[in-house]
Amino acid sequence: MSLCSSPSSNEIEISIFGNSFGESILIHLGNNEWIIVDSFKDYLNKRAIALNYLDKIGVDYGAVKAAVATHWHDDHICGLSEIMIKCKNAAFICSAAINSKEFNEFIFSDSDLIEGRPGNYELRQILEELSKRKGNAMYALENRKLIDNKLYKIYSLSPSDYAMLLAQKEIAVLLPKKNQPRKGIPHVHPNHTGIVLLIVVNGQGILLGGDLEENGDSRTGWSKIIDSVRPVVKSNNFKIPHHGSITAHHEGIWISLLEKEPISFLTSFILGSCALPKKADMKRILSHTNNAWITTSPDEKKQVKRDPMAERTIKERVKAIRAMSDNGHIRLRCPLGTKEWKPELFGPALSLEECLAVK
Amino acid sequence: MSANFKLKVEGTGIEHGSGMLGNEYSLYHCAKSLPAVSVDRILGTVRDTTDPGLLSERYTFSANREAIHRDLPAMRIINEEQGGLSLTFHKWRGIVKEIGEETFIARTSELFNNVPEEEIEFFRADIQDDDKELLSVGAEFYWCIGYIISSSGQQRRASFLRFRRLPLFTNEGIKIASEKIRDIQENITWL
Repeated sequence: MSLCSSPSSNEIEISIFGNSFGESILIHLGNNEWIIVDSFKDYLNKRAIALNYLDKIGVDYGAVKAAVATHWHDDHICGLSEIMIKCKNAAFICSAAINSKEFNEFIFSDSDLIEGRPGNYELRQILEELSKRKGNAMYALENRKLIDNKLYKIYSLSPSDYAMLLAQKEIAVLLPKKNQPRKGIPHVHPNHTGIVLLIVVNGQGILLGGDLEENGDSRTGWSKIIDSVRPVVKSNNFKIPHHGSITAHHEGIWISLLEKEPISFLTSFILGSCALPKKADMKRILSHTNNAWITTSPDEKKQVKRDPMAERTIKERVKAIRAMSDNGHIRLRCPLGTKEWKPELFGPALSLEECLAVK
Repeated sequence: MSANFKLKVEGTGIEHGSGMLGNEYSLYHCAKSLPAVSVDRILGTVRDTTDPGLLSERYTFSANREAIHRDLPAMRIINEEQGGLSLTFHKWRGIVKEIGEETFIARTSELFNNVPEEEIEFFRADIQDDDKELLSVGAEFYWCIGYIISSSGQQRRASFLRFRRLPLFTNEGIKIASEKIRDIQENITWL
C-alpha cells in the first residue's frame, strides 16, 4: 500500500511516528474521524508530523476530533499548538495536572516565549487558541470516559488521584516568585501525571501507555490502573509506555489489560548515554508478544555532514555529537468488525525482533 | 557604545551599514560561504568578492558587539580598536538537558541550515567564566563556529558558546499573568 493512500471510512488506522527525539500517534476511528495523541515536528518543514501525514493522505484537518497531550515533556508536545490552531474541530485533552491554577500561572508568567521551552510555549499557545475559538477541553483522570459516541469510546485510565496530589505539591514549588529567573517546565519524576488512554472501537481495545511509569506504589502508575475498577476490555493493540523502559513495566499489564500476543509498538528515545529500549527491554517485550514494532532503532547513530571547516572545529570542540534519526512510521490498518491488522513500515521503522538482532 | 564601524559590500559600489555600535543597521551580506566574503584592513569592512547571492537582512548589533540574527550567519566585531571581525558560518541554539562533571549534554537546532536536531556533548571548560553560573538544566545558549579575522587579514577558526540571560519574574508580570489566565479560562469550556 502506498504511504499516500488514506484509510477507507470503515477501516481503523493507527499510525505511530518517532525519531528518537519525539513521538506522535494518529488514529483513524472510522467514518473519517481522527484523533492525535502527542506531537513532534518534522525538521524539514518544522510542522507537526501528524499534520504532514494528513496532508499526504489528503485528509481535511476538520476530521480531527481531539488532540491529546499525554504530558508536557519536550519529546511529546512540540507542534501540538499548531495542531490545535489548524484542527478547528478538535477538543483538547490534557492531564488534570496541567489545568491547575498554579501550573497556568507558571506558563503565563513566562512572557518571553521561546521555542527553547516547548512545554511553556505549546501549552500557552493551546490555551490562547482555545480561548480565541471558545473551544472545548477535557482533563483526563483515572477511569474517566472522555468521548462516547456510537462509533468509539475513549477513556483515560490515569493520572490517579494520588498522582495528582503529588503533582500539585511539585507544581506549587514552580510558582513564579519575584526575582527568580524564568525557566522551562521541569520534568516531574517519576512520570505519574501522564495520561494512559483506552480507546474502544467497535469492541476492539487500543491501549496507549503514554510515558506512565511504575514504582510499586499501589496508589500511582500502572499498579493503580491494574487494581482499579475500569472498563472491562482487553486490548489487542498496545503502545508500550516510556519507550520500553523497565521503569514503565508491570507484568500485570500483559495479564490484565491485554489480549494474548497483542500488536505492540513503541518509539525509541536517546539522551546522552541513555538509549531506550535497552536490549533487556526488547527481550522482555518479545517474551510477551512477537508482534512488536519500533519506529527507529535506539542504536542508530546519524551524523550531519558539514563543510570541512565546520567538521574540524566540531571535532575539536565537542565530546560527542549525534543527529536525531529520520522519521520512522509504523502504520496499522484493520477493517472495522475484524481483527485483520496489517502492519506497514516506513522510513527506519522495523520489527522489534529485527532491532534486537542487530543490537 | 560610541565606537564607529563600517560594513559594506564592495563590488556593488554601495556601502551598507555605517554607524554606531549598539544601534540597528541594514546591510547586505553574502551569507553562504567564506570565500564569498573577505575582510579589508579597514576596521569592520566586509568585502563581497562575488556579486550573486546577496541577501538583505537586518542585524542587531548589541552592546557587547554581537550581531544576532536567527536565520543568517552572525558577524561580530571583535575589537574596534585593533580591527578584526568574526564571521559565523554555523550557529546552533541549544537547551541544556544533562550536566556531568566535565561535560554537559544539550539538544540543539542549527539555525542556518535545515538539518535534523542534534544532541551535543560540550566540555564545561569551554563555557566563558561569566556564563558558568548560568549552566543549569533547561538553560538556553547559542553556539557559533566560524572564523576570526584580524585587521591584518589573518584568519583562524573559532568557536563561541554564550548562554542566554533570561529576564527575572517580577510582581507586575506575575499579576498580569494571573489576570490573563482568568480571561483565557473564562472562554474555554472544560467538559
